[in-house]
Amino acid sequence: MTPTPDKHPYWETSRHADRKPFLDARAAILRAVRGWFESRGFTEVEPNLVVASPGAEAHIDAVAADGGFLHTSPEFAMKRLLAAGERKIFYLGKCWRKGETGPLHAPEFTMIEWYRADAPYEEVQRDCIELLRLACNVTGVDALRWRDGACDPFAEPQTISVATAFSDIAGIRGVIGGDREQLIATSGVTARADDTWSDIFSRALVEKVEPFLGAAAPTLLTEYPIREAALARRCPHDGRVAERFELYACGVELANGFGELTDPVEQRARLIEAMDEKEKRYGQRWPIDEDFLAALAHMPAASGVALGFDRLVMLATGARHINDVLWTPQE
Amino acid sequence: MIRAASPSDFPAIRSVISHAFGQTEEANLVEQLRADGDVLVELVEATNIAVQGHILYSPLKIEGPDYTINAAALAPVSVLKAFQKSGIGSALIRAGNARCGELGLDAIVVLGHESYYPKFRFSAALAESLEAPFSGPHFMALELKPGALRSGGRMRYAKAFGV
Repeated sequence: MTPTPDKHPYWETSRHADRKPFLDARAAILRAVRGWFESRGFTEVEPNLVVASPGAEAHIDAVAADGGFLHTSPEFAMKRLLAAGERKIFYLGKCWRKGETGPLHAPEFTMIEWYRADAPYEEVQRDCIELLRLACNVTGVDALRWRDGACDPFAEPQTISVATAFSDIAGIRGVIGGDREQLIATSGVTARADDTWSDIFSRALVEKVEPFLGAAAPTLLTEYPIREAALARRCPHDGRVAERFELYACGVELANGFGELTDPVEQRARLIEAMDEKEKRYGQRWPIDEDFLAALAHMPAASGVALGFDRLVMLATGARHINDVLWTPQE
Repeated sequence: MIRAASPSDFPAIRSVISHAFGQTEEANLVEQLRADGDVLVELVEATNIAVQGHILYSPLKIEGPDYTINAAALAPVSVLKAFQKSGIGSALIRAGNARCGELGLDAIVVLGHESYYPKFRFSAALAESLEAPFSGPHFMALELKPGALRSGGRMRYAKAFGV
């Protein structure tokens, strides 16, 4: 399929005709994904889109709406439903993240998010791989493609810990236990005076590690430093790292998942830490969602993951910009 | 660990070469050499997780009036930026040169940094007898068989080089 680099509005006939193959593929993948979840006994849920507390991420901004915010992810609501007794649920719909624009980002985008109660996080990792394969089967391609890269979703996925990825790909050792100064020294990343350890970690990940992930087969980057995993439980074998993973193909992050943290005390501490960071960096903090913390005490052990549907469509169709796969892009 | 490159390495190799050079021309060259069947030796330095370095040698004929010298062209060699100056490039060149010797080749030719390649016994003087589109201190040769380049000759690179 040919991407559409021109500046005509999306409703202009010839531009729509150029985008039409991507959009048809999107609709077909959407149907297939819903079918995939339903055939595996998942229930589709429709959480409220307007929420009082839109998430737990220090560096994500939310769109204000009706005295609250549009959700940046349905995570808090879906965990409440797990607490209520749901076992396998999925959400396939819109999320909002203010100011995120670019070839792979749109402020309004579509997320697939799902949870499995009493399942290890390796199980939702396998789900992710199956969805990559499903999307490629729908579009009839043998590889996910982004820019210069091609990734075979049918190949055995590669699982790499963050520590190993940093050392083997970027030559950065000691990323898990080290402090800010050590990370600056070992990563070679240029740091501003007010950059935190997390800022430097993120920059090193994006600049020096991510481009090499998912080059041949999908890569599951696992075992994140605990301070980079606000909603994930600690790994049993090493309390410095958490059961968080991200899925990559062609250097593109496609999904972010956790073995979910269900300890409300630790969760409260991590949310406060994240909001302290948000306030320090952006002069803003979101309210702690006390109802979510109350529900967490009743939530079963679970694993969950959010996968960017638009990106999945992009890589399964070879689109070069997210606006090629959005029905009504905000341009 | 240095080992022969396999097809499952090819996407990672493309990534390593593109990042090392900051452009895709060299990665495209490698893929064209493979497509043309013009690969003599292709090695990677890799952990279980990642390809960190890559080297490729392609066939190079040096033709005289009534003889042909079977040589190899060394190009390209790439190392992830984070691992440059860590010895990976040197180890790849030593391993690759040794492999060319095992294949019974007569010589290796390289276009590279004049202060780097001489430590692997490449010499600009040895290349002076070769009729090539290149000249000067960056154009160097290494004899795997002593005296192999004495008579010189006209160089014919693999088609993908376009020279």
